[in-house]
Amino acid sequence: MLSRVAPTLEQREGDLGTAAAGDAGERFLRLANGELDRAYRLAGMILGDRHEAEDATQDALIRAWRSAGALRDPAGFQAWFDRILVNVCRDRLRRRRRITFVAIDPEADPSTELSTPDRGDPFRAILDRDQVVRAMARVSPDERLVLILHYWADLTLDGVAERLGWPVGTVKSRLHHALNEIRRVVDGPPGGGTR
Amino acid sequence: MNDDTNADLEQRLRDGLRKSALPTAPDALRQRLARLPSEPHSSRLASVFGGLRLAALASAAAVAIAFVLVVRALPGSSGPGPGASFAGGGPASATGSTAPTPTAAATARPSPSEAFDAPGGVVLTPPFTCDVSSSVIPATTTGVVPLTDVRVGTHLGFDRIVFEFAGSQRPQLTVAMADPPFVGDANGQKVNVAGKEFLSLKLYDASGYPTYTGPDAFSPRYPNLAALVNTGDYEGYVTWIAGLASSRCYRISTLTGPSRIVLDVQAP
Repeated sequence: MLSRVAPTLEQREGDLGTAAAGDAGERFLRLANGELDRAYRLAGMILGDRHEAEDATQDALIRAWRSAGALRDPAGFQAWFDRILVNVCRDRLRRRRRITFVAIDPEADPSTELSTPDRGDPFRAILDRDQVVRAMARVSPDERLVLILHYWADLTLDGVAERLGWPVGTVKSRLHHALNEIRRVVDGPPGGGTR
Repeated sequence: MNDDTNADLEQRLRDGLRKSALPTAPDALRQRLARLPSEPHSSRLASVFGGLRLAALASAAAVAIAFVLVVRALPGSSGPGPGASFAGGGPASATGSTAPTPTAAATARPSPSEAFDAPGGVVLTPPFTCDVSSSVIPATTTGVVPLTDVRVGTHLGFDRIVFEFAGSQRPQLTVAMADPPFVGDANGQKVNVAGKEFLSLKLYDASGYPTYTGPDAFSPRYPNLAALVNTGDYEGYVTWIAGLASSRCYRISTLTGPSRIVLDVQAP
């Protein structure tokens, strides 16, 4: 007969029995679950590494959970969680000091779609594929955050500033500097790209 | 000139960054998220949404008290609490109707015996992503894998079919679009399956005999999964036809301990 108990699925879905139904923790879980894919992708695009993205997202989840009381408005969950995640990613980027530089391959066709997203690291593949995107490897961690939040996450400069906790003017100046750096790399001037 | 160059560069950045689809969050992350309730968090006292903000000076003591309260308030880890399970959980979820259960699930239950999987309490609903390009889950063994259970369930945004196997191995699953008429593998008899769209779910090398003693047909009438009918258990092939009310958008995944294959179909 049809099984009445499905303990097996609980294993995957986690120990939700320990969350008191109907409380703020439950709402946190719902909101976080809805944001999880996006957060993981954001971390992946910032860090360029799926394993690091997973670790960073996990760290952000734990930090967010522990400070969930700081969030007052559910509508602000995404920005609030993004800010935590971006901070985690920034720490990781700074520890790395510099994104690994990948030599620009003039033979590469920037218009070529990634044929198999699962081949290798999907984030790395995107970040390595296009000449302009590859040039992002030359900007500072903070500038990289601005680029990803603005051009990939499609946030306004105000939105970027909110995530980073900076004044909008700072975001603009970082963006300006990052674009100049990328242009220098792409245009290939002698000595360009060293910082 | 400079503005034009900047605009072009910005567009190239946007295009380059967004050209490919990106992976969804790994299962391990969702599992981690699901385990968070077992850890202390400040919202128990501060009330995450709309509650009172604690005075900073009181927060340290309050967190300590909160931790104690949390530990005391949490249902024991040895049993499912109210609304404990995303995927059901037997009596707890079957009776946990005070939780925000999706309307469709609440009204579509054909019988209590098929309501076990209706969500109750906390519902973790991954945003549904069709993955129809993955139509095959490879086997983990060359031997015959005994099918022990087939379950169906409905969740917010998708309906779920679970095939469970004895031991740690799983057979191959091949998912294919299918169209009626359907016939039994062994006897060639016509088999009626309710639904407008159909998926063929073929397990190989598997056998439901004598290990699977459940029904050969489910009529859950969930938001999308209208029926699930066994059309064969023959020469290593165990075939089920899923009758769907609307979308054939699906995703497949595997679970272990015990070994399971999960197929979700998107539900309105």
